[in-house]
Amino acid sequence: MKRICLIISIALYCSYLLKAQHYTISGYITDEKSSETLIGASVFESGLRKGAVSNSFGFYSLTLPRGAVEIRYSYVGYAPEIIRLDLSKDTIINILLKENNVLQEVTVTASPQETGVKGTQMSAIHVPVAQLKAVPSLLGENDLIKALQLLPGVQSGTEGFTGFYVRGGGPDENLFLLDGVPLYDINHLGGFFSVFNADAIKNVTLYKGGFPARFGSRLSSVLDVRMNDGNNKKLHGNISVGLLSAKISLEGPLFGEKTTFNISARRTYYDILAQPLLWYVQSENDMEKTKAGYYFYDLNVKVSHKLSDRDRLFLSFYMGDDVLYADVKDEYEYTNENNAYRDTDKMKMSWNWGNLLTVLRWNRVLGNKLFMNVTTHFTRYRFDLGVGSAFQSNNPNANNYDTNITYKSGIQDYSGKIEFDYAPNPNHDVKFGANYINHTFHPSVFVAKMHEDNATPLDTVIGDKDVFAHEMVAYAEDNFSIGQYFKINAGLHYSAFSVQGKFYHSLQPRVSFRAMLKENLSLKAGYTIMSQYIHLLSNNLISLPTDLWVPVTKRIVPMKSHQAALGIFYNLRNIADFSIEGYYKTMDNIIEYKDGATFLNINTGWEDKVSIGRGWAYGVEFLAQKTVGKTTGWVGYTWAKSERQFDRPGQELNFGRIFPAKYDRRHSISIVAMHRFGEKIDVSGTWVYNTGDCATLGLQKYAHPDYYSAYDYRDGLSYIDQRNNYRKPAYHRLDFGINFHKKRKHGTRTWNISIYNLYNRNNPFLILPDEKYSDDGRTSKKVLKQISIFPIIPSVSYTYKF
Amino acid sequence: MKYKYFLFAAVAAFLFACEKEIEFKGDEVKTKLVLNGILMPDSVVKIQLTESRFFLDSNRLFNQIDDADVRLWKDGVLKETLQNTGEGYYVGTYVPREGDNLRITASHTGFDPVECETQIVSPTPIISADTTNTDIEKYCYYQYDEDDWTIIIDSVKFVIFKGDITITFKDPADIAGYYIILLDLRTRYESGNVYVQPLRYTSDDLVFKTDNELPFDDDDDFNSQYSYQFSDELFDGKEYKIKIKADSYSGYYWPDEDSKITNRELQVTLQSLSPSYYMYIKTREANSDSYFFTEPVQIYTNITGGIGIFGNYSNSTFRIPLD
Repeated sequence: MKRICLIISIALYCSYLLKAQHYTISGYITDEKSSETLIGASVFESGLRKGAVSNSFGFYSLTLPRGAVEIRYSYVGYAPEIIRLDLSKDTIINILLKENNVLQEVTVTASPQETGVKGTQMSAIHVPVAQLKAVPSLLGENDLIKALQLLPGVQSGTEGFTGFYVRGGGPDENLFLLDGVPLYDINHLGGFFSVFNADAIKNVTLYKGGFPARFGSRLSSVLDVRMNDGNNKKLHGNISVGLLSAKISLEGPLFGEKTTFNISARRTYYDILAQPLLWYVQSENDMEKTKAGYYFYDLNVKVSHKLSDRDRLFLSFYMGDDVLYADVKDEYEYTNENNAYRDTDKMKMSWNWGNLLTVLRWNRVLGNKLFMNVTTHFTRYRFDLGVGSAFQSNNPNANNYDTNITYKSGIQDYSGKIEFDYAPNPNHDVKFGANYINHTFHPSVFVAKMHEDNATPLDTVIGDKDVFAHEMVAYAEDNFSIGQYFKINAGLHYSAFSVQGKFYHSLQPRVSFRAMLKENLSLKAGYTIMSQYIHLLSNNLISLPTDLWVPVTKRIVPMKSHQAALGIFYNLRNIADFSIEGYYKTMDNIIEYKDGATFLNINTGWEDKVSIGRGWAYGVEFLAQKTVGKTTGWVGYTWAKSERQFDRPGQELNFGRIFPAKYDRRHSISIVAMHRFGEKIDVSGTWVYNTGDCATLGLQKYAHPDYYSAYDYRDGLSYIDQRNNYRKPAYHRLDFGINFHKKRKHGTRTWNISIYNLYNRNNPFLILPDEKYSDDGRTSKKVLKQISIFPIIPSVSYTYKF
Repeated sequence: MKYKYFLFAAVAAFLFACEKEIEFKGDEVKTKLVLNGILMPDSVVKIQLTESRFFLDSNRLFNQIDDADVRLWKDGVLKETLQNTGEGYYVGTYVPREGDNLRITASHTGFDPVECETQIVSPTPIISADTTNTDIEKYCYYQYDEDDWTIIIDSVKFVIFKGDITITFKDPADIAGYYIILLDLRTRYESGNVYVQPLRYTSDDLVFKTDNELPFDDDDDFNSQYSYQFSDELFDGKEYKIKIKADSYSGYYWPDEDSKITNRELQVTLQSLSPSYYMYIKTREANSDSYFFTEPVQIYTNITGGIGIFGNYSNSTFRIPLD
């Protein structure tokens, strides 16, 4: 018996020793040419069939048993690298992957590791930047948001305007992260273009559901955009000139290979081009002197520094503004009682809005299995609208005045965050961390300054006071395998929000599950609870930069959503991917402006202008994408339904009845195709179809209670049976783009020709009842008028890359 | 106000817009019976029936429905059939009393039958009403011919009333109360004529702010109206004092200039509204204030199967001598 016990003990000890003889391979995966870290690259040991994925900073960690191993490093668009070694100790391998010119042609919308057939992540799409740049665009401006709106489950708002609607959620339910830091307004020119300059971006991942525990704060989506770090070998850049804007990007080493920089700038010049024309028209027509225009600009800067093999420091900066201005000046001279006088009348308007963001980040490899990221940031969104008028005269009897009224709103955050990635063994990938954000909300303020002769000067501030809030987050998640067929990502996200003496908190479980049905076929399911502590007050008609960010308060409680999703994923010979996903989502405590409410009314606090209600959305999304070959692209189809109900006493909208959400579109189809004819020419085209948006129209007129019968020619009252009761005509559009590349002595030049709305479809922007009069003006008839804003728009741009 | 136009112009500038007429492709819109009836104190029941029309119908007038079957029910019992008096009006003989539950049913070939009900509200007595800082100013002005600047009309007399008015009343407990305050200046002349001039007023009282969107307007230096509706949300079941200010723009022409004024009174009316009438007034006002940046407002209707409003109000008045 003693012998048996001894044998068992020895066996257990040997087993322990064998188990203990695991070693960790870790390091960074980077681009060979630029040393740019690669996010989501695959590290795979083929014999044991164990693998890992590089994190958001390109770091990976894979623990394997002692012995001979064959590690395959791969990344989309890069030639795989295979390393064979006898693993006998913890090893650091920093891998440089070479761009594969053949694979570079490939268009891939899903990273196979994280979001494809084998990963647990569902309802997420990884978008290579090369693909973004290939999608034909309005006025030749590559636009990240417009490209994402071509994916199933993502809806655009009113054409040309702000709006990013994911799975029936509202426009404020999306978290836009630039290098991990929230941006509150992502639009230029009211949404015609986004603030993301494609030249500055390295990586884009959109999460529509199945949110890992590390993400939170919004109900419907997370868009994780990472900026380029900068090339540490050589100075590179590109210059681009289009019809709307000019761009320049530069990247390279700074004081040696340890420090890199990346700077991208963009500015529109419509205002500069239009001003001489404006002056000419004024001089020809003897008009008032007017200076007016609009422009926007972006500036992205990132500096990274390698302190040691274990430490890296990053400083990111973004600044972007939209500026709309008009100055009208009218001067006139006159004589009165032999005195000459000169009067000057001025009117001015300036409308500025934009973001400012600064991020300081420190990465440290604490051990082969543990990676730490510490981030501190400042982000600010502000909106200023100023209107002024002044009158000055040398006539002593004149009444001189100078009046300025400014409307301001905004939000700013200071934040500190610490995150850890821990990979104890190949079956587990643990992430945990904590975050603190200090919010300051400036809901809406009018500042009025008035100076007038013989009157008391006025200098007053009217409106909501600043609101200060504290947000705390802690999370932990583990992406773990159970055998070869099952993988689960389970986590907890805890968030708390303190505002106006009120403390809200929420524990949000997250779970995603993947079962491999075949080598290339998997079933995935996910369930998430999300909580959101800030709201965007937005008018329903169109979204504008005037939309206000406001926090939860004592009266306005946090929004909360539950989302369940189920999907099947199939990969066809690594050439094409197919997925079909269904989801059901509920949203509680969402807010909307009450009937008739507007941001312009400062007599009423914003809390009194909104109603609290709930919504729910469900749908099915289909995506087929061809990822390899000269012809690539995807077909997406979404069937969806999204409804709202505001029935709390005193908060009723639509008299408490259920109504469709404004962007409730039953069918959405998008087809995106790209073809490369060779090194010199490539073409791309997109076709998109959406069921029309909802609008609210009074479809009947009826008599007033004080109707005078025969002599009463008043138009009557409008009968609106329910909100969003009218479906606008369907939206569809075909875009086309062609690129001509040519190698030059120091780089490559590209001519891009794009045609937006190729068959000149008049898509509805606004639908209004109107009165049409006969030529003699005696008779009229009522008509329904459609306003469209984008006819066929050809554009051309030139890019030189060196 | 200019900044709103600026804002609109700025938005419009973005829209190198293309306009075109389009065909309405929504579901077929079936016109409805419109029943309107606001019952007044001490008056018989009177309603009007008209037909709604499609919003693209260019006809200006509404069809009056004169041959419908309209019945009045009191507390669930048929009281009478209302008689058509032409132009879509139907009148009964019954004079409603406080607390009556009245229901109207109306049917006509080609329309869905409609029905509606209202409970007759009781007046809420005004306990007291006082004025302070009152001022009645007389002005006169002349109208000139634009060409030769000769006087066309000599001395049009004009009276302006200013004053702060405090109204005290007790809101009944356990009943949702909805109100409107009206102000009238009553001028009695030696000739025996009495001229009643409605006055505009403003107020900073919170009860008005929860109900009324008072748009900031830098062109107008007043926000006064002839009436504001409000609810008892903030003073349910309690005695409440409301302060209002009749402003300088409340005025009237002095039509009987040859006759001497014998006395002047300020009449304060506290109108108690039925819930449906209150909702109608509130939403109708918000609807008329809608513009580009606001949400469209649905006007309240309590007519099942049709459109319109069936409600009632009851008045309580208090007169304050001014001379």
